[in-house]
Amino acid sequence: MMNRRNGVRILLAAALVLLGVYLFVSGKQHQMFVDNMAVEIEGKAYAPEAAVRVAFDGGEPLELASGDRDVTQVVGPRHSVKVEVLNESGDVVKTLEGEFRWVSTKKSMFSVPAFLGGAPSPMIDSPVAE
Amino acid sequence: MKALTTKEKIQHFLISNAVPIIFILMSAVAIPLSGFSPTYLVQEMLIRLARNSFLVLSLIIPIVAGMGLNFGMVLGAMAGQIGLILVSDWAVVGMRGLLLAALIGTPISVALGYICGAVLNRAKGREMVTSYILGFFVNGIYQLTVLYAFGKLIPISNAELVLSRGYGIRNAINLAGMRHGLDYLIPLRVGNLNVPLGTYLTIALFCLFIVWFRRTKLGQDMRAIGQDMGVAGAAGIPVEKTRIIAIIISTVLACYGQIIFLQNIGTMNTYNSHDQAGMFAIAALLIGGATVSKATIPNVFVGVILFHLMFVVSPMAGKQLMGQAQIGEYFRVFVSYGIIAISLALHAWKRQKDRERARRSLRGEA
Repeated sequence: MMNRRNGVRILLAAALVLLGVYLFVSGKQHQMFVDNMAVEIEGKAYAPEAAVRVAFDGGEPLELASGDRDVTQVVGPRHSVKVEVLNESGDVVKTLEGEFRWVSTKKSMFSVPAFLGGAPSPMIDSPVAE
Repeated sequence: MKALTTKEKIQHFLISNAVPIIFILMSAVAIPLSGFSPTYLVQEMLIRLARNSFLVLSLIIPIVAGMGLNFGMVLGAMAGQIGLILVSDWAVVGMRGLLLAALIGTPISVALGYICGAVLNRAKGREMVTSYILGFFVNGIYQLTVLYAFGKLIPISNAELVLSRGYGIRNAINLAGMRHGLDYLIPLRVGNLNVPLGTYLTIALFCLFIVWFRRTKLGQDMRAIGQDMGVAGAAGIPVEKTRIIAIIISTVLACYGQIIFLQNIGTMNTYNSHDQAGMFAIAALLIGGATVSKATIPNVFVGVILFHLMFVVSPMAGKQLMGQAQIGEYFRVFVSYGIIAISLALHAWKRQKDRERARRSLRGEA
């Protein structure tokens, strides 16, 4: 028999399950590759920059030359990124900031050229899945 | 009733606070011998107070309900560890990881607390030894689960957690992703000292909860049961149900306490971390001046500080005094665990003395 007390209990249990799901999604740490290689997305080619400095969620920046690939850890589904394009002497010539969403483990590679070129999503297939 | 003389008052105070006084005297001797700087000791105490206080506070409610020292708190500690193992496997990090571990540990600790409470209701008057043995029993089930079910029945995808044979959890789990997740949630630095403010705020909330809880109907029922189960039952209080609730609350809080403890340390010893949780917490509470039948919030903090002060200074004092740190460590272990026996003996002696004094004063003798 569904009385008021049981109803409250079911609602509370459902709220706790939802809280668990939220904590899982928002607190999950992902291993993300950061790639500065030429890439083609939906028929459009994106060329790499000679040198870039990339920082995710205000963390320690990674420096990548053309053709470089590195790995970092990000937490949660939404991320901010700051990409600085460097010239030969290491000075910043262009800065681009933006946000992106984590897609899946299969698409766990952040393509710097795609981000700088304004691709719909900078997340591309990870090296494992290629 | 005859009023106590000054001599009797002093005697009563010394008897009531014998354990903390012994520890304060021992610390007063050991601190200068250890040669540690005051800043180092204060930093250590700040960290250790944050690490242990929640676990020790979880012991108060069963004492209020007259169930003595809840050695069964290791059940809650095991539930917390199961939560931490799963969260480590899922790679959920930081404060969210700790909350998720607590969320997973809560239903497990409620179930274990219920079982513990039901068993203790069948062993009234012998709650402490029963809960102690129950801890061993559930430890067996925990070891079986973690050693065989994890990786086989419960999927574990992180190879770093699983034993090389393909199932069972490794002996040590690195909680690097959650380390100090609560401690330094709100960073605070005072001079050279790092203050784990997040944990202190949590402990403060818990203290407020205990103060509030004691004033509620349920809290008053527990106090009545703690004073006299027969009278409480005759007054219409559901004694057995209330005792089960007291143990469930204690077990759930011990689960959270173990999670706080392990996030502070940053490493989990899968098969041993929970073993010492109950013994350490009970030793600390007794050292703080609590007894089997009475424990207050100040007892918790005094006990944790004195217990851990001995932890820190004993090895170094032993080294300075006898040339070997191990001697100081042996001495600390001997004193810390001996104190549980002394406290229980002192408690029995004090109760006898109190009864004699009450009889004398009723007769009007000096």
